[in-house]
Amino acid sequence: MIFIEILLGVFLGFLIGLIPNLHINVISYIFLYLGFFNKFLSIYFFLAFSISHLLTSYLPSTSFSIPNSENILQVFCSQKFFLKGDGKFAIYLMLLSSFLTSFLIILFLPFLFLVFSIFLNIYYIVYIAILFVLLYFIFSQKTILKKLVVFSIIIFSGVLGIFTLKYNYFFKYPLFISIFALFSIPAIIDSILANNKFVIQKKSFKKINLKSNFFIIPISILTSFLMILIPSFSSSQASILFSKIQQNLKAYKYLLVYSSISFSSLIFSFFLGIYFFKPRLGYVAILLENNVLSNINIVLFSVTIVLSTILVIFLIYLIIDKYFLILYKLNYKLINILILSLSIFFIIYLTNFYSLILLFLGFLIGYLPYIFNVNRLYVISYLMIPTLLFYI
Amino acid sequence: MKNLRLIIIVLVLFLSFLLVFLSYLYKPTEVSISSLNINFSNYNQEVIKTKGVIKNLNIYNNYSTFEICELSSCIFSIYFSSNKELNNKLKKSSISKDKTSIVGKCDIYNSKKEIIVYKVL
Repeated sequence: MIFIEILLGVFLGFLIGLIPNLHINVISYIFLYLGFFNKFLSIYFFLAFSISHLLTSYLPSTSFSIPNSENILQVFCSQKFFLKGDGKFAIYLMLLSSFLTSFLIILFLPFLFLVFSIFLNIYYIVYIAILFVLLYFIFSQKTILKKLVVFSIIIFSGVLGIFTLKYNYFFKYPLFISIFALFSIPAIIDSILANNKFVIQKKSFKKINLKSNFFIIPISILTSFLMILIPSFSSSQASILFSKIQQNLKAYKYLLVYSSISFSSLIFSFFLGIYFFKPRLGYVAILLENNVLSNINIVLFSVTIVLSTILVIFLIYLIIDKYFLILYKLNYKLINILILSLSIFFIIYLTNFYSLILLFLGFLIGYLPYIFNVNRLYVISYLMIPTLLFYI
Repeated sequence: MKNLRLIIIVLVLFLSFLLVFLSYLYKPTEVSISSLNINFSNYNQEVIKTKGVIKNLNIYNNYSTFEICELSSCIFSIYFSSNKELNNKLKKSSISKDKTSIVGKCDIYNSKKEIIVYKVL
């Protein structure tokens, strides 16, 4: 029965993962709406689904470059490959990294249990870490103007976070609307304005030396491990930390790192949700709220991780050439406009008209890094400032 | 480009102030605990104002939980980021059994009704 659930989860995750810009948090609301959390599906289905969705979503996120708070750095890097015709190479690198991570991460789980048990009640570490990162965002800028810009982005995003997450009087499902407005809309608009076009993707690609790059994977998992201890930190902060430690990384190594970190964050979030009721991802939090994260067998949990990864990589391998061939025949600009319109329509349908104001304000804040040419990740202060206030 | 930067900053400032201002001026619907308990689904995800006696107060590191009651009808409430001043206020109300007004958002967590408290008046 569990094997069928894993197969179902992988297949559904694969199908939904192909849809551009459908974030897993939104899907969890749809699951809730459709009554998926009622009895007949266990955690193994939802775990297989999320792994399959994460890996398959590399296809649309690489070709359409629509980021969210978890994959923002990875998407921009993989899209550069795509625009040079190396999209298939980028996706295979991310899949390879996820495959290796799926085995190695199991070894880290007992350590996570131990470390988290120790740090669980030491609150001041959380706010010191968040404060440190926010100050680092500002003071790592070289000019005073850039410092001021980053400071303003942090304040604007933080205020939006406080008045939508902490004191929310008007908005329904503010988190997923804001994340879409802050990260996705600016990226789609930028892509439309940049007039990018689909490029024919090369079928053959360069070889990389797996032996010399293998150690990147455990180091990436360890980085994700450290970040998952702090609420509001995502895989993006972990990636930044990694790139600061390992400077001058080659582009393909970035992809290995980012995908390993994203994969690890997902698994660690499930693990913390199950054993400590501290999920770090919205999707896992909704599973926890609906009592899905119970009756867990750690051996089956580990088997599900490896099996789902292998199955979804096989499915992606089967369709990747056809996927890029179909994309090449489409109008890139039109598809982006369609994605944007449908997403906004979908949000208003699920929520109310107040969401339009939130979408507009979120978009304007999310667009500031584009027009001032600073890192888009600073907008993540939307989550960090309310969390900081909670722990102070 | 300069003009675009200016327009976006002015718009962000204006809309942010508008959001803060409207949130500050927001007048929540006043509901009694008993009717809230009966028709909770109607108020789910809405910000309301209610009045009752504070019972079963628990103060944790950075949040407080209590029940707000009207006779035997009670609703679980949680105040995140509580501070010393607020905890003293809640303690006093809980001991004196005086009625206290709270403003908060109705929510269902783990199939349980609760109020996420924004303000203790």
